[in-house]
Amino acid sequence: MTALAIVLMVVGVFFLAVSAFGLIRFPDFYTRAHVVAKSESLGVAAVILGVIVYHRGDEHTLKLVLLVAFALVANPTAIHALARAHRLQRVPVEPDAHETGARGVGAWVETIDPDMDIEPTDPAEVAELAELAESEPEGLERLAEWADRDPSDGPDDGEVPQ
Amino acid sequence: MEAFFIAMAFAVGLLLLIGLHRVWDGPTVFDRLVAVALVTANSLVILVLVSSALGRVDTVVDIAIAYALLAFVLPLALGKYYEIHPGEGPPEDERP
Repeated sequence: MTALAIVLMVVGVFFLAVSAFGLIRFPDFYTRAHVVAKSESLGVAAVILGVIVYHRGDEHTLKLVLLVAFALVANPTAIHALARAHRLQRVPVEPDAHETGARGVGAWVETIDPDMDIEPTDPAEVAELAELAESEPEGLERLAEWADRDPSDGPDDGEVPQ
Repeated sequence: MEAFFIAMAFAVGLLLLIGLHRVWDGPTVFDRLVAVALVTANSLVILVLVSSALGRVDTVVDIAIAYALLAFVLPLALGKYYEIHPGEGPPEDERP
């Protein structure tokens, strides 16, 4: 049982390390929130489960199980609250240059796999969209109005004004 | 086995310092807040490991539970604040 406890704790510390290095290496807020919400929760749960297995069901097991359950629920919830608030600040999903030298998530994906096969945009579809924009100029104006609206009017409900 | 617990606690402490670098470096308020969430989770793990190493699981785990509850409140409260006041978020020059 002690061997199982050691394996669980080492695996947990590995996931905590993945989370910490991801927080340093990832290029923008959304990727950092992703790595802290998922990998960190699993690492905390695995290490505390290792401690539970090591103590083999003595009187402290219930407290530690409660701690695991709370960590698994609370950490993703807190990060989700932060990510939602960040989204409502209307910060673009792909920011420009950063101190890591990467340009947003798209450029970062290109740096790890330059041969990635990305589908080019269909030219017929582009022409159709351009035709649609020409035939309905007021629709474009409404979209621009929506994009320039005052952020203090309330949260972004995703609706374009009519 | 106590030495193993202490070694694991030291490893998690090093990862906590890496998280503190992101708290210091930013660049936005939200990056700092996410890094603070990582630092609190890591210190929770350190508390549990040290409690086993010292053989004082009963008292130190109570402290860990209270710490987890308190650390949960900070990101929720600040996230809710920035949702209600979207214009008062990070200052313009801090945006990525």
